Amino acid sequence: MGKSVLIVDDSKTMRKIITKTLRQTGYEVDSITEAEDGQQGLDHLQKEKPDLILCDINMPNMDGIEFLKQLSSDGSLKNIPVLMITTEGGSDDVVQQVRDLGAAGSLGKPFTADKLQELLEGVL
Amino acid sequence: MISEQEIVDATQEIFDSMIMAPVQAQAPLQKKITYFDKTVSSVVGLAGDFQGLVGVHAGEDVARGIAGSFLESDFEEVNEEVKDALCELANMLAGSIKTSLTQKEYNVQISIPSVIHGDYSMIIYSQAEWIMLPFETDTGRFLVEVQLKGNPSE
Repeated sequence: MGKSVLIVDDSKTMRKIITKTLRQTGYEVDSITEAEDGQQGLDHLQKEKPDLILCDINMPNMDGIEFLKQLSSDGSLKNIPVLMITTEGGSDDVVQQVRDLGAAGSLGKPFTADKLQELLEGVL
Repeated sequence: MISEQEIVDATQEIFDSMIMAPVQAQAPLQKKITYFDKTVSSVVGLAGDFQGLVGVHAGEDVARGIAGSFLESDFEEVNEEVKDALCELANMLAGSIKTSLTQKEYNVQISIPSVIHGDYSMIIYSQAEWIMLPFETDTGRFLVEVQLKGNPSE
């Protein structure tokens, strides 16, 4: 059975690229839902709980760090694996910060399907 | 602070891994361009130990071409998707430059990208280190600009 995925990114381009790359990994996906910022992501999670969340860090309104904080403080949401996808993937501080907040991993942009697949294998 | 080669490598990596289109770096411009005509510019601000910006400037045709390669679509005009694609290119370049500076132990933050389209002038910080590199694509040339001002030891 395929999985459900929530993509949280303010860039429509990145949401499309992430969707395309996710499908290239061979990860079986039934449904993909998109949110434009952390708040929209949280709103969606009140209705549906996906198997995986892919989330940007730099976003207007509610950024990925605040989104992670909200998730980790909610008992019904904190066990959903979250992969952070960010332009700041090369920064050890950012990688450690998102780990401390409960993210399952982080991926720096630009990335390839192979890199995403490697990360998914470690999470699922 | 940031070398031309680091900018070339970052741009090349983005085109190779995510845009999936050939790109060829050219010799850096010696004369500053500040006026842009029928151009899409996406700009990310830098703050912290250095102030400045990372910009991508592409004529309308080239911007449509880059977005088309990025999103595997054809764009007949510069619409929001084309602008968003250029913003994402600038965002990833700024992220790479931030990573390079962080590895050199500098503290730098980057802003959310913004975009301008049309005919306009852009200011260059008077005391900024300035690099403007042209890149050739299948649809023509675009420019990557980096301005950095500041000295953390001051």
